[in-house]
Amino acid sequence: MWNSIKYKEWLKLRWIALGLLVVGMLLEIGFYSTVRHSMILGNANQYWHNIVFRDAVFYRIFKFFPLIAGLITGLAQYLPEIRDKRIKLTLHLPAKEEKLILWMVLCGTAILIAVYVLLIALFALIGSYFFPIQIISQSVCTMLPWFLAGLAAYNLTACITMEPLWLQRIIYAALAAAMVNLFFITNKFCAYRTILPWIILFTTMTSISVLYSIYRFRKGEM
Amino acid sequence: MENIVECRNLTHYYGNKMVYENLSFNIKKGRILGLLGKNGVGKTTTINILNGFLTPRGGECVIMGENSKHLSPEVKARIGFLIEGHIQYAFMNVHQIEKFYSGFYSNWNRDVYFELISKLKITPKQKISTMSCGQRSQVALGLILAQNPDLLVLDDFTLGLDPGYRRLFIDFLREYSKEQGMTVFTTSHIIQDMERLIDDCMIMDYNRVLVYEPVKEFMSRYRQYRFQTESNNLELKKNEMIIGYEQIGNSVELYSYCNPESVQDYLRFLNIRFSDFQEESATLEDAFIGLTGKY
Repeated sequence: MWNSIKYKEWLKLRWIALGLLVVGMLLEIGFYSTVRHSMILGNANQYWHNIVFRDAVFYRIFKFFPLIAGLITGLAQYLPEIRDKRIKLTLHLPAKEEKLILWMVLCGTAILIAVYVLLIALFALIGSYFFPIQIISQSVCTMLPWFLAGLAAYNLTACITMEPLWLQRIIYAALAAAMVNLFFITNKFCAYRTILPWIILFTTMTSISVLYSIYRFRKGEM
Repeated sequence: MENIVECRNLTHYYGNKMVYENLSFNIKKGRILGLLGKNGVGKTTTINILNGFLTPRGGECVIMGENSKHLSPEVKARIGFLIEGHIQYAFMNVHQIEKFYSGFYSNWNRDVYFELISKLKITPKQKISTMSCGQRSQVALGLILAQNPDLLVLDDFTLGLDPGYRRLFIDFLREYSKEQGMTVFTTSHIIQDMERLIDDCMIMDYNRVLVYEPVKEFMSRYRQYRFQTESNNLELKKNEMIIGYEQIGNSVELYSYCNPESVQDYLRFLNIRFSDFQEESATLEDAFIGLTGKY
């Protein structure tokens, strides 16, 4: 059963994941080109000063990419399920419904995390050419809430997409936007460090929100 | 004979609009029951209740001893479910979808699936989304038959099928289900060819069941007559003698469960002048239209 679910979700997401990875890598290459340009052709001292003392975020363009990646992954995975009410096929499979849905969420999360990890690794790898490890680790720490926002957005997209009624979808979307906004309050270096465990917990909890939409579908809200 | 499905006193409303009240029916093991009705009479509602996708306002459905609202994975594995429009995972091709489903069913019979697929003119990697409705119907049928289920639930499988595919679907389904002793519950608003498939029929009109009996018994009782009359606007009350009628000009088509002599006597009793009274042979489709009306 697990292999079959993995297979189905992989078929839905493989090209999307590859596309997101390529776009993410291009973005990273893009902002590192700017860094290189600023250091070689611009004022390297000033550039360093801005990063070290003024918390300048040279990867700002990357800020909303994980969020968009989460949204796209969620839509790519769950829109085919609700189109023509195909979710009925999934819910009719001989397995516990909650387990089936959570396996699907787990597959999507795993693929998204894989993309994120590769992008963070590339970020650190190229970054280590220009900056010391302290700046790289601080930057990754700054970016972590953005990646968690992407995961939360993915989970909430699942919940919104699987919801059977449009009115509820709009309400959930407004609530989701407010929740995800919490991940982007500040650009300060590593500002979320102390509450990181809490936002990880919050992100994890959003993964079960889709079960409520499924419960409503099973109840006959159509 | 053992009942595979028992639906008792089903009542459902959408808002204030009643779909039906106290609908009860059973499906006996090995039989093919057709729930026939026009669009909007509650066929898909019944299927949704049977599959646990809708909680009825009243009553319950018991499938293989379990309430349809809480079917266990073991019972679900014994039910093959065809969604209206032959919906399947359109992003897969025929091999991918077979691989996906086979992981869920211990009695998976890939031969029956590929037997049906071999009849289609498709490329091995062609996605289901690019197939015609008829081709998709064969894929969907192959998948549910490969599950080796005890019960097949088919929601309006005739929808969108041309006569050739409809015939292929019906003939293959009938032969295979009878050979394997499967029970079938199907809905349809297209009655053409259904006589070839179903053993029992339940004909529904808005809010009520008009007929619920074996097709052979129903068709042996049902009579259809045609006669000419001078009146252009006959007004006949529906009763045991006249279950329906249609008038076009001076020609009247009358539907009844009574023999020709009784109907003619009744018309005379009503002082209706008629001529050229003839009994016509009727198909299940004719009977369905006679009962539910053309409009």
